Amino acid sequence: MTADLARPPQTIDSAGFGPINITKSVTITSPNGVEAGIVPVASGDAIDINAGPNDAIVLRGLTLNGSGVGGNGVVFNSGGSLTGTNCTAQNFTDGSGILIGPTSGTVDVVIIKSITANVAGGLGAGIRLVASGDAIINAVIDHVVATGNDYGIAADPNSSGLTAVAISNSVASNNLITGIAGSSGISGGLGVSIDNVTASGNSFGIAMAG
Amino acid sequence: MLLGRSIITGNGTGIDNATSPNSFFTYKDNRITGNIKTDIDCPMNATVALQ
Repeated sequence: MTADLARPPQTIDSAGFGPINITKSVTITSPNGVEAGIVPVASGDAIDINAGPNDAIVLRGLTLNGSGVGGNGVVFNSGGSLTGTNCTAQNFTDGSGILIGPTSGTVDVVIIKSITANVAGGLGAGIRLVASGDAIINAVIDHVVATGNDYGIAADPNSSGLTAVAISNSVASNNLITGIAGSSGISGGLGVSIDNVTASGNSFGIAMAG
Repeated sequence: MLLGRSIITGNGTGIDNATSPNSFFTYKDNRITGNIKTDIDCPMNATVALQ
């Protein structure tokens, strides 16, 4: 199933859903006690976000399951903001649990109380922030568990993209390569603050370059 | 890069700091210990005095 969701809020019941393409402001909520699983097609994404620069996207209580064949859980290409709360992205093989990859504009990202646990080996991350072009990402990551990925949380702006990310009260453990990774591009900028975080069982706990 | 109040343990390398110029700062109480290869492979900057 592919759906373009235009009007907030959208509340979904316990069921398995196909991939979603979001093009406008929307709130998708799965209330407590409801298991709303979103499963992509092989090598596809569970949720793609291609919205306008002032659009706000809110995801609550969703379970994104790549089933070992999905590409990414969430791919944010464009929009004004993304707020993800109580979400799980797991079993994606080729990409990342949550991939924020704008090419222009300023994007505010808040990820709270969520879990990313993907299949290592595809060079993906639990949460990856990649600002390119003249894009700016302002991200807050709080109470997140990133485990079993190649990179737990990664921020790697390229070209002239800018990224500021605050990571707090979280765990980045048992990832194949790095728990928390940051690398700025040739002319890009990256600021990372890490507070009250545990990184264990990775090849590198924290790796920063740039 | 600012690191505070965190636990980095049981990794191959705890902290891999390749920033140039060195822009890896720490504050308050971090526990970076018990990593297999090395805890810190490049010195970090002195503790930041927070206001």
